[in-house]
Amino acid sequence: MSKFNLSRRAVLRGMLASGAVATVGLPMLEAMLNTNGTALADGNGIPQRFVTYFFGNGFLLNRFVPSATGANYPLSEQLQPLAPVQDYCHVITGMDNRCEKLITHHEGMTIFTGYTMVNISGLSSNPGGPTIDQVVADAIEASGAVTPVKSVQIGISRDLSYMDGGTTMHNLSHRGPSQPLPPEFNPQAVWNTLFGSFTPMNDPSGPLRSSVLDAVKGQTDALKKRLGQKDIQRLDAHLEGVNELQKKIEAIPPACMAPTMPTETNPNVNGPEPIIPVNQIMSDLIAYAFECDVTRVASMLLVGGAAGTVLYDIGTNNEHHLATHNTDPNVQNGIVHQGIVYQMTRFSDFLQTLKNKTDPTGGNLLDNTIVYFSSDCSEGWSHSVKAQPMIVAGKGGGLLKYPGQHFSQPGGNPSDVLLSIVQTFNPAAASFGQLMQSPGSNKPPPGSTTPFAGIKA
Amino acid sequence: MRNTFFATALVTAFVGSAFTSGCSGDIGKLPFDTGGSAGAGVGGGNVGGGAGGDPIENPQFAPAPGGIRKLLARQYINSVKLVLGDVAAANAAPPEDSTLNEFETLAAAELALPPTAVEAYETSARDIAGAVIFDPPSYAKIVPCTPVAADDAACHQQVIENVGHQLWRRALTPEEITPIVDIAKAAGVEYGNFIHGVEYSLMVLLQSPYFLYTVEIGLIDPEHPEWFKLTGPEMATRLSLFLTDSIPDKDLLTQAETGGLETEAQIRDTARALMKKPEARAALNSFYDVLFKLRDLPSATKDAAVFPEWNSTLGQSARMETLMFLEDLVWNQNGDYRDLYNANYTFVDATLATFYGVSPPGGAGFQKVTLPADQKRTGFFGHAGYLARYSHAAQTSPTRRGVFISNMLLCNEIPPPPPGVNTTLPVYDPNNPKTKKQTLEELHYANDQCKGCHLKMDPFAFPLEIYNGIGKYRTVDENGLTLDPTGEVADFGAFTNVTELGQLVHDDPRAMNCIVSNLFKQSMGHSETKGERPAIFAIQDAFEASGFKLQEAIVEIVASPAFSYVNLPK
Repeated sequence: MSKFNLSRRAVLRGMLASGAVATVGLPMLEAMLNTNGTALADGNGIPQRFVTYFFGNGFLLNRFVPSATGANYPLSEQLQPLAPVQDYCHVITGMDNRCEKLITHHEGMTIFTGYTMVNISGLSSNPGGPTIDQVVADAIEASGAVTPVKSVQIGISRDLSYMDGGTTMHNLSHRGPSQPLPPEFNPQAVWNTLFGSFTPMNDPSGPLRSSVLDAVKGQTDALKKRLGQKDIQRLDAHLEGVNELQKKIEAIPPACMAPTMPTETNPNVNGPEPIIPVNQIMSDLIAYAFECDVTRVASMLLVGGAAGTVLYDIGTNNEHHLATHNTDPNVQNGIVHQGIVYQMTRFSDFLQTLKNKTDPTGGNLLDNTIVYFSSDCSEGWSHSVKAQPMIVAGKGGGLLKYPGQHFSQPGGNPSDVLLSIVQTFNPAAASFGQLMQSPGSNKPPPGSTTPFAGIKA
Repeated sequence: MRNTFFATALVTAFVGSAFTSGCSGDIGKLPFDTGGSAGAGVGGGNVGGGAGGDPIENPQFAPAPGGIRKLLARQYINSVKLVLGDVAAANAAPPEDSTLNEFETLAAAELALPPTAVEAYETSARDIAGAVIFDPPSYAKIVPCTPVAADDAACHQQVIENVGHQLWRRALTPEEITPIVDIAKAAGVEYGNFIHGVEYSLMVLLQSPYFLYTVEIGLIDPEHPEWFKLTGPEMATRLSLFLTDSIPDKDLLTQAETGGLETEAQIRDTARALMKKPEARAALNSFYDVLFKLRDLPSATKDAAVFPEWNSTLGQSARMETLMFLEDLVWNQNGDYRDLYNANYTFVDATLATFYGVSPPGGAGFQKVTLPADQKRTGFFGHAGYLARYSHAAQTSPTRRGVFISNMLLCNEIPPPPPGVNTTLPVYDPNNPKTKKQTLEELHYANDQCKGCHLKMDPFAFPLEIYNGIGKYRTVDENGLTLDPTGEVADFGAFTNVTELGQLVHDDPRAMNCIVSNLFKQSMGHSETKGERPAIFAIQDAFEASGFKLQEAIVEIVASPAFSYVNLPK
């Protein structure tokens, strides 16, 4: 889908920035930490990072849900890929996604927002509110921890749902109902966003570019005065983007070893997609970005809900989404199961990448990160959102319980888990998601004011 | 295993039941709920009922809200090329467009830009400006003065006024010019060269919301003080972007600024002049590329084991077939648009000729041909692109093909399937062989929950089963079973083959009203509002009166008061 072309200048900048001579490996200075190494000297906590990871079309619950609860839970067949990081993974099963409306697949995404979707028309909708990664990104920024890139959105398989007209299914990150943050599928473009576009110190273009953006902001403010509410919101989002860019231009280039630009571009092809390598490269880029503190928030969309993705690597030539709707038990227990294990393995690849990288502030990156994972339904064949599984991985800088446990919470509200995650970044957060019923709904709203204490340390 | 599925199915089916009424309503109605006119056939005339005449005098008419719309990526590039030249355009890399409900223009009017897009605009502006100042012809085009110093304010001001006027489609105010001159002076001094001042002033102009968004707010019209009439430059911009995917050139802008784009006659004349440009053809191609999802055909995923013939070359040829057909029908012939649905000819290149089983037409590129009669390829319904795009990776999908006909060709929107139903067909059982049609009929029509909608989509595509999942003609299906090409859709008609299906769509007034609705959405960036209906009905009537010439529908859209008036900004 995306055909982001790197500019000659950007590439040049990037090559300069990543040349072996031009960079120095300089992890966070010890002077920046307090004497225990548990917090920064200025009193702020150790950088907490947050990631959402997603693949669509669900699981097979009888092969996913662990047979016992608590720590050291037995790994089910579909959780087996998480064995190398099981101690970092809380698995929460049984909670019912409380989206008040049903389209198929779309309602499942409420497990990332706590809002019922809006603007429903045929196979089209927008989410009702921001996704958790953006709530967390705002909380991190409000805490005073300003990184050059506020958050990054990454996609792996480009074959998103093509029968689907709105924004809900095509984006894992949203700042609001009409503010999707589209995933970037090209690793080179992600690299450029994270590492390739810093302004070297003493480069006069930095202040000049910033003054250009000041002029643009002035024009935008003037234009807003003539517009209605809807367009004012759109220009406010534009201004937010300008402000973020200004921060990046003014940021000191990260003092760490930037990776070299990947050669992979993940092109749009009518054949097998390089899912395994692209997932790994993107995982590496996020790990580097976390290590360098370029950003603290990411979302990763592996395979879309109701997508056209074919998982060629497992020996199939048909769409995984279509296979999940085939109720033949041989298909479900064959190619569908294998497809789920394959995608869980990609998730595990990502978690292991964080675990295998040392955090300059101590421990490994997964020690200081929270990764939230779910799908768009519990089981693909029915797209049911009852008992929709969730995984919360990472120690979150010691704020989450360790080792990970399996919690069976029949009838529970997923937004309780999301609220507890948000509270690790913003202890003052009192609620998550939508607290009022949607018009015409007689169901409880999907938001929460009651955090799920189970996962907290 | 099956028991588990069944138990969950009961629960979810119950939950989903609230949705099953989605298709129980009257699918036969016209897109605008015009009641009795439904199915009246072509020639009903003035389906809008009531006043007739100039829709602006119709008491039910009200224009849609004004506001801002983002330039599409191709509009950005074309505009940069117009104002700054080819070198600039080659360096332009705006963020990619998204779509909303199948339309890029809806997304451009509704969605907010993500930070990544803002950054892409900045990178693009820097690359354009950096290229322009080092390319003497481009530089000469925009710098009319000889600077006496790096911070020559007067010369910088001239550049900013001239380029800004064109890019922003209006004269800049002194308050707007001053800060840009200051930036240009600072940059000129910093780098010790005037050209870098030009570079930075271009960067401001190109990143300005006044370039990136169209502003459609209008002024009070004394004749209709309840609404706002687009200013001349606003109208020129709306017109030019819709018809040619570019902001207006200097001549058109000057014409609009001097009162030459006010009357309906002036607007019609201007539109016809713009439509003679090659850019008008490209703009309509882009519209169909998105509407019919043709643009991603070259990368459409097909199962290589089932369809070894499919590759990106064939996908590209199939895409071009439909675009060539439409370009010929609309522009070369200025013919009856209904021919799209029952034509006995199409356009093929060597790749497609082989695919369709005819001898290559000779010559480079695409040639008009008649395909073998036994294949029954009838207009659009025989085009490999449509047939492949609305199939699965390894097999046909009468449901997807049928939903497309209903939603996109007739503007009868089919709601989504209720949750909890099995939407995939049973595995083929050689001991109990069934065609896809038989399977669908058993599965979908035995169940009241499914029947309501599926009766209104699948049967459209039963005749199309003679074309496989990449649009190749076949006499039997993949299991060697004889195909039954008959079908019937309530409030539409019965047909026994593709040709009859095509003729029914050809004869159905909804198909012609639907293309007007879709073009209207493309031009305006919103779906029709209730207040715009009298205007839409007038456009549809005029389209019919013209003998369904699409060029006339386009002229009628831009000449409509719905196009030149706006309400309070959204």
